[in-house]
Amino acid sequence: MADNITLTIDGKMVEVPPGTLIVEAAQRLGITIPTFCYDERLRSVGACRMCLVEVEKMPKLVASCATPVAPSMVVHTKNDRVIKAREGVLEFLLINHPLDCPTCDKGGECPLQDLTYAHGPAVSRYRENKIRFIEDINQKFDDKPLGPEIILNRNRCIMCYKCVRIVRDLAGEADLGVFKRGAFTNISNLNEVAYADEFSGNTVEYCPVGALLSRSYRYSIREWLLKKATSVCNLCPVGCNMNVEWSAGRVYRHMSRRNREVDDGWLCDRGRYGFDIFSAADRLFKPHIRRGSTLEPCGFDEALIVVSKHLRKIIDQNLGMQVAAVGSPTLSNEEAYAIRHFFDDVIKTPEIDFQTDMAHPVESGIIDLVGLDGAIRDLERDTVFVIVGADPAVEQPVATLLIKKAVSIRNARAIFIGSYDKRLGHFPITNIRIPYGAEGHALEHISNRLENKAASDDIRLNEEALNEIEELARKGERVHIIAGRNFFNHPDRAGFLAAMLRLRKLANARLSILPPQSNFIGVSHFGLFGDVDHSFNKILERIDSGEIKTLFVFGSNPVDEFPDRKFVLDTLKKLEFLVVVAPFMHPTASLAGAVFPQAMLPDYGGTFTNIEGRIQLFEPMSDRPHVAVRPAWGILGEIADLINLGRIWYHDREIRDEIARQLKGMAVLAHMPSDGFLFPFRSQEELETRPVNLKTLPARKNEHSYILQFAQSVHHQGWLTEKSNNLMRISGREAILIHPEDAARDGIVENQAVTVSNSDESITVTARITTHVNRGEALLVNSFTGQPANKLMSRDSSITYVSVKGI
Amino acid sequence: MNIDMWQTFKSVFIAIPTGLSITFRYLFRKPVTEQYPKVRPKFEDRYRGLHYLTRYSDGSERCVCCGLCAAACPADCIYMECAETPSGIRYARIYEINELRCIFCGMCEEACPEEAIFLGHEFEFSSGDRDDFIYTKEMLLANYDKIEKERVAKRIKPMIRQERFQFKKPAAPIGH
Amino acid sequence: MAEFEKILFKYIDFPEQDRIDTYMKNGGYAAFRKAVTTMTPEEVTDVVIKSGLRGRGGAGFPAGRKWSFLPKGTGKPVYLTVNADESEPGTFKDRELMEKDPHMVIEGTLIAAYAIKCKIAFIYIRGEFTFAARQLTRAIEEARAKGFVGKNISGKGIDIDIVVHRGGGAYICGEETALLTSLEGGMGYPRVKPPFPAVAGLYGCPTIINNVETLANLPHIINRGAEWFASIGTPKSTGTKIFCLSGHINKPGNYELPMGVPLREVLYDYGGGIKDGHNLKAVIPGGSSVPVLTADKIDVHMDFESLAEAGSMLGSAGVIVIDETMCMVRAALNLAQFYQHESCGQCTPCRQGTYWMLVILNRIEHGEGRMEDLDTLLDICDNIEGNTICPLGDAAVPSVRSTIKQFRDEYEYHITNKACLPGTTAPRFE
Repeated sequence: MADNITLTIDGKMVEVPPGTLIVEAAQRLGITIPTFCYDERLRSVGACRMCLVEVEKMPKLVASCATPVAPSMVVHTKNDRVIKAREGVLEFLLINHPLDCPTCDKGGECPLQDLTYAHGPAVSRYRENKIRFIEDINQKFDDKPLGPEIILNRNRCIMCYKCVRIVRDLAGEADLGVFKRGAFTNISNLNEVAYADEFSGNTVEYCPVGALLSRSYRYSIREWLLKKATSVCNLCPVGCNMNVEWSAGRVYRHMSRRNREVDDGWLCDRGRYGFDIFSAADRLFKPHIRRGSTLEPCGFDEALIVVSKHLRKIIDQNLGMQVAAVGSPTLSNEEAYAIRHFFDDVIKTPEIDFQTDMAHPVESGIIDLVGLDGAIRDLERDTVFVIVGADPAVEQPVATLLIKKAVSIRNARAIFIGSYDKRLGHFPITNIRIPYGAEGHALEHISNRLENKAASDDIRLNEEALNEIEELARKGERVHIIAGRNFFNHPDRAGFLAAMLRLRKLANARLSILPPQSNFIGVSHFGLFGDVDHSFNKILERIDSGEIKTLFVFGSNPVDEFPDRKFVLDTLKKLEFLVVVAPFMHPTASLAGAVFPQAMLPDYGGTFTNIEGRIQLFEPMSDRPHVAVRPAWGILGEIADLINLGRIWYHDREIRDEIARQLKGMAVLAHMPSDGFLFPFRSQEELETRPVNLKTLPARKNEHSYILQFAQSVHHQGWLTEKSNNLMRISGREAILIHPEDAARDGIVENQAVTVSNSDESITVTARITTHVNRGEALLVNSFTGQPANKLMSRDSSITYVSVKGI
Repeated sequence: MNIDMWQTFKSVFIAIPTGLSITFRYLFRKPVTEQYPKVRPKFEDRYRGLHYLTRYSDGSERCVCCGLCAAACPADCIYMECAETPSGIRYARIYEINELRCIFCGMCEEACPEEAIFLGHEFEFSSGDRDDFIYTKEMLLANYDKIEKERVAKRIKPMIRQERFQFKKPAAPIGH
Repeated sequence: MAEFEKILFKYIDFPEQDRIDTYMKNGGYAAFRKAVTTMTPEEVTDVVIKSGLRGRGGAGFPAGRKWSFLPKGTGKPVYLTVNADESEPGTFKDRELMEKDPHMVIEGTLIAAYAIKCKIAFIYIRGEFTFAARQLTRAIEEARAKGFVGKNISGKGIDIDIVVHRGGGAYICGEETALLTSLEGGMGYPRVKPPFPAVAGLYGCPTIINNVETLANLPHIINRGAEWFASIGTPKSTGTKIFCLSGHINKPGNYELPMGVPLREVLYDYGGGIKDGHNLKAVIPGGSSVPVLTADKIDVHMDFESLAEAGSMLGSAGVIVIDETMCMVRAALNLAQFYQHESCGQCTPCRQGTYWMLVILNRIEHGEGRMEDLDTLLDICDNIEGNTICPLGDAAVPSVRSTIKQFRDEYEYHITNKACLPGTTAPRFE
């Protein structure tokens, strides 16, 4: 290891490791060198020339963002030559920059404005017409929509290449490129390609001028009027840190709040542009009570009294067992704890769960395995990724950036095993296609090769890819097995898990099971895990048989989520009293006897737990106009107080103090550190292998039946993201993907409207034809609540067979 | 005894008339009182009265809702919300000035980059209801259309310089 | 006019010199054979260093010393790229060499590749030189047939292959790092140095970039020795140089002369004097990227040091002759047009500065100039020079700055009288 290098900057000495850039070394001394094109996470280009400094013994000024330090370097960042160079560069940047500041959304937070004010010329000497990239001769502003969200104004671009580097090096797409040469260089996209990649919002945040702007923020407000609430995104379990920027009770945007351990300053578009779920037009702000056959808005106290009276009666008659509570994996840790504390200690019922989207709930042996094996930052160092039953680029985009980095820079191998092809941008990956449900079989193939056993011939796999995995595993490379969304509702989950455990042992690999919801790990460990006996599936059965008569639903929407819509609808109607805490009047809420408006980010504060087990704090906005909107603990505290069996919780801090006292190892929650803290939720015990007994693979019933599978897209995840106008504008409509041979046989063409039906029900979607799916299988992407796919599913069978017919 | 009488004589017959002589002198001087409301006051051009929003000569509003006037205002009395016309021009959908908060300093006029807002010579806008002092964009434009436009034409200040940018030919790249 | 022996142009007009049989009959490939069979690569490098051969592409860096910068033992392959992207205005020497004597270029490439232990050499040739590219490709195939190119040359286990890559038409790709980026398939954007190409160049491997003329000298140095080469020219600028004479001269063309020849001799004895008997006004001695010399300075010797002392540079030795009928503002405008068009656009000073200089010069030439424009132009030159990633920005400056300094009266005449000086109306090429 080389020694540190000592150099002098502006007369002060500093010692840094070799390879540090001059601008970073200056930062350690507190000297900020102005830059436009420098970003410490992107490869330096040294293009803007704003960071020029004088280094003694070098004839020319040196770009400090692209030059590593050398021993005994003497650097001057503030002498006359450097000041003149900076003024010169700013003058050059401004000669063709349009006078758009009053109408440009970047005004007020624009580095070009700030640096011109600090280092630039006060008056312009340029007397000619400015170069203009005309979009439409009749328009004044030459704004070019690059896609549904991003707007480009090429006149304002100062060619720092940050957007191109983000698109190409980070996300691995090829949407933006540099066209032409010299003074007429401009960044644009090809007309046929819409720029809607999931990291497009980052180019808007990091563009130093108003060349790239968001349509959702366009002309809405000025940055100096916005207040910032520190928050954590709750649309995926990576838990990227962000600031919710709001003013006067309205949320205007989400911006990144860089956390080097989790997101490193990047946000995916789902979290960034999903801010308008909060201000959706049909949000509930008042509680509702059923009078007769209709739900009518009422006061908060009135609703509380109705619920409390009902509960008081139940407690007095010791009928706590007839009550059940079900939460959602998107609730905060405090809400989960409050629900467990209320229903377990006060009502005395064990029927508490959160798995409202599973007919085969996860059991306790698996719950401790859910999560990332290691830290998010460690993903960069793995050399082989075996990704089975998951699409991390769609489910956990920002964590996948590290997989992309490993593949592109460190030559890691990413191998996807699944029944449809996946991608990591344009980075080279291998897709091993298997029939639906054959993940366990595929892993067994690999394990058998590693143990030099013969392979079974139940499925045929890509030999080359298997050779590769075997070779890499034998060489002792760092292997990481990642499972995701398709693990949880897999038709042969036990076999899949056993196969993963066996391969893990043989390849000495790490094993991660990543849930798609934001606080799956937190909610399951802070009290909402009901295990198989008290899972939501069992609760429904008990409601059906009459054992449970009262159900509390917090935050979830079982009618849309549970894989058997008919059963849920029929069962919930049998309840005596259904209380739903919901942000919208969704189908489950419309069946309720009492509905409470649920608090959404940033109405309330609390903590989420991400896939690494990092508990992160999010804070509410300080100006909350709607008094009746409460998180789950707010409502339960009031009820407990009314029935004289508890106290009102006024602040999430109070619950954290109680958790710190009650739960082991949680003492630090009483004093939450600002960048979160890691808790070892994942079982640290040595994972034993178990015998692998794989079920037979599902077979196609006949030529016209398809096995139905589901995939989510980045922008559409379910009924909640559907409420965001921004995300719906970017996401496509639902589509069902079928193989060309099947399409030919069933007479279906591209983009045709089709009905997807089982024997009883049907939905209407658009058909897309692609070879990326298997014959006999149909992949439904984006199930919208208007055409709910869970109509076609049944809890008795984990395989759904459908037929697809053109309209 | 005599001395007292002299003091009394001085104060009554000398001091009082001396003082009263000033009063009598002013009694016959022309008063400087302006007989408002019969006589209208004369203002310098730069008198700061009620605000008005200006238009271009083709009738469109100048204000692009940039927010600088609100940011410059020391009394925080300007509120605006922006929108975009179908042809892509930014404008203020809502623009309100709370004239009761306003201190008529003129910082908004100095800050405006579009020569859109000025303080005019209107000072007679009293009302009995506080709500009447929230001047909306329409009221401010009406102030311009009906009253200030003529005054501006006759005045030296403000001299509105910019006309709406008419795009001619773009810079001809040489050698291409 | 002193008589001396031509080295590079000895057989340039020999019939069929571009065929390998003729070339070998005239002594070709003997040097390569000698190097491969009797000398080690280190010895070859030594000879080149001792000969004092300096780069002929414009920078003038000693060729042998550049080779010695290659790091040893990195495990990465070493690449040689031949810079045949001759786009400097006023320069056309490489073209003649490649079209008429391609084998000499090939042989020089082979010798250099042997010296630096390179297995694949790339000739990056300007896209517009279609004939020269064809000549080189054919010559490589002829050499391959005779066993000089390819695997196991001369049975010594040495593999050298040469690939001709045609550029897309960009002056910037003559800059060495932009050349490498273009060769790798990207847009021709120069890279920040350090790291230098000798350490991390093509695909991150050690790379040497040499000019065509530099390499064409190598067979002769090997054949006749370093001392013989060093005896020609001046002690610091050894050997001969091909001077490209163009402009208002009676006999334009390529002239191979020893380094250090006086400029007056080049113009009058070899070039035949100024066309139509006009008076000389100015000479640009080294291609358009060097400062202009006024007519009183033409006794300067044409080598690297003497020209630097006189306030200009030897550059690529493209001698552009300007007589009294040329408007200097128009001359500066022509060159500013070139640099603006060729700027790659990556860094701010060159991208915007060349454009700004062009529009100001255009205004001055067309009668709309203002007095403050001259100081603005000089300030722009100061702000561009030294602040750019690559020397194109530095190259755009001398034509403007030196013409304003030496011919300020012409500029001021344009501004005040809105017309060119009488007698200097040059033909307009719009």
